[in-house]
Amino acid sequence: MKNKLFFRVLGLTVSLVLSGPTFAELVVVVNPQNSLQALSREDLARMYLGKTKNFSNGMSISAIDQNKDSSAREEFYRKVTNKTPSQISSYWSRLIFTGKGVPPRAIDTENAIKEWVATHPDSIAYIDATTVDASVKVILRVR
Amino acid sequence: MAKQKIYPWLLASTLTVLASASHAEITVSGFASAGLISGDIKNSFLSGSDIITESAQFGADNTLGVQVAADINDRVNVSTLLLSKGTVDAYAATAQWAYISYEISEQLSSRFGRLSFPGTLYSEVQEIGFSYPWIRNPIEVYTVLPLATYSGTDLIYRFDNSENIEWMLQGFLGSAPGFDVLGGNIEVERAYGASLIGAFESGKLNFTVAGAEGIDYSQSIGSGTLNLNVDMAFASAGIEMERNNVLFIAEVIKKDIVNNPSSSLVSLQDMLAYYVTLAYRMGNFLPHFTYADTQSPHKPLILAAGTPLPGPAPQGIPQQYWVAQNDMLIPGNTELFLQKSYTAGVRYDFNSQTDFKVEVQRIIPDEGSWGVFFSDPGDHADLISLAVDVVF
Repeated sequence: MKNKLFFRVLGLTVSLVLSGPTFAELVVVVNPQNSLQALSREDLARMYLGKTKNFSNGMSISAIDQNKDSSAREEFYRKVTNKTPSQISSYWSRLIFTGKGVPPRAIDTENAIKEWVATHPDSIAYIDATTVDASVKVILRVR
Repeated sequence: MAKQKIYPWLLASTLTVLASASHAEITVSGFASAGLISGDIKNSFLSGSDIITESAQFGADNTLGVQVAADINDRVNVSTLLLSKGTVDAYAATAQWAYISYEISEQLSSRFGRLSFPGTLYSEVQEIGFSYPWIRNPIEVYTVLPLATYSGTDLIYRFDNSENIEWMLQGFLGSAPGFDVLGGNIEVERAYGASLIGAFESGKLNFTVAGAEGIDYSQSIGSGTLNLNVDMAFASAGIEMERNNVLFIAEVIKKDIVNNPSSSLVSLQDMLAYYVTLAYRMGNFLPHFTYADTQSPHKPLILAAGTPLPGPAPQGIPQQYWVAQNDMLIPGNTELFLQKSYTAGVRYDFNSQTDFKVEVQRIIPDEGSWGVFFSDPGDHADLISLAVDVVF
């Protein structure tokens, strides 16, 4: 009996470890004053790779990134650009050190990101869906 | 192709601009590499813009670069990179580039100052190991480039002709003031060209045509001077593409030389060089394999020991003693290196800013050639290299 319970607990523990960290859904948000209502994954990728400088409504883009060590950042780039964090770093290093591009501004916490988006009409960011409030507008769910 | 030392005036003026622009947003970024090379390295050899010697085996790939950039306003940016390398004057810092960029419009921008010489997929980022799979860019192609940096200007025009490819047309014009290299001094009167770069979702294309006029190399020997003065034209094409975890990179470059009448030496360094790299991404691991080759209508000119040296003997040296002491490459043809190489390596990404690389390489000089080596390496040379790269 005790052995069966032990192995059940062990199995559950192993499955939880091997399943890796679970992520809440990420959403892409903009300032509520931004008239943009929706965005495609392809357009979002272009924004975050510096290939597009303006929204479709003509407003300039200020893309906000999360901290380089953030698991949300890794998940975002994997799903949106199909690139690993090191591939993204390599991509930007080739632009930064040739003066041909500037990476998105990185902000450490999601609360700070929300505050930035709420006070900068030209910004776009990605955050945990559970932290969304009225200060930002969701235009895409990252799946 | 050695780098020039810091121009104090250039650095001071750049810092003055930065200091005075109190509202400017200043960013500091950088990169570093550390590595070692072992194996058949008793013979010094060319690698890109460097000469790797046996004594530099623990520092040949050591690099530190710090870039300071400031956005003066929405259109003007000032940037400078200070670079220190293990292969250059005991890590003496050099101004790799220092320029002012001006955004004329959303599609058009220009830069003025000291700039990296474009021409291949990785020519502008050769020092940034993190930005490519190998420890060193394939020697065969990246040692053909005539310059690492130049002083001048470029004009960059960005345009799209389809939804899938963004194009950038980069025209450049400049010169290279005298700097020390290969025991002599070299200066380039004029360098110019254009690159067409296409970026698509899974990769990048690069096409370049360029020329350099009045490449003047002079080397003092005793009280005399050997002089080489040539014009050079080159063209290159390259592709980098990654799909379904398979990475493919290939580049080809062709160099043609015209000897100017004022030259006391004759250069026979017309060459074609290419490489192909195949890699497969497995999580954080990227194993890769590269084959590279060079071809030329000429054969290397090697003076056997005891052969009379070109030109009259310097004053004070009897003509009969003006001979090669050892087997040597004729000055002016040291960059006619005919060889093949096979490179196998693995890159491991610790995280988004740090990688570790290991490579084994076999260089096989063509018959009658020493390849990139400055003395006879024999039938082949095997090299083992380790390196760590960081960006910050």
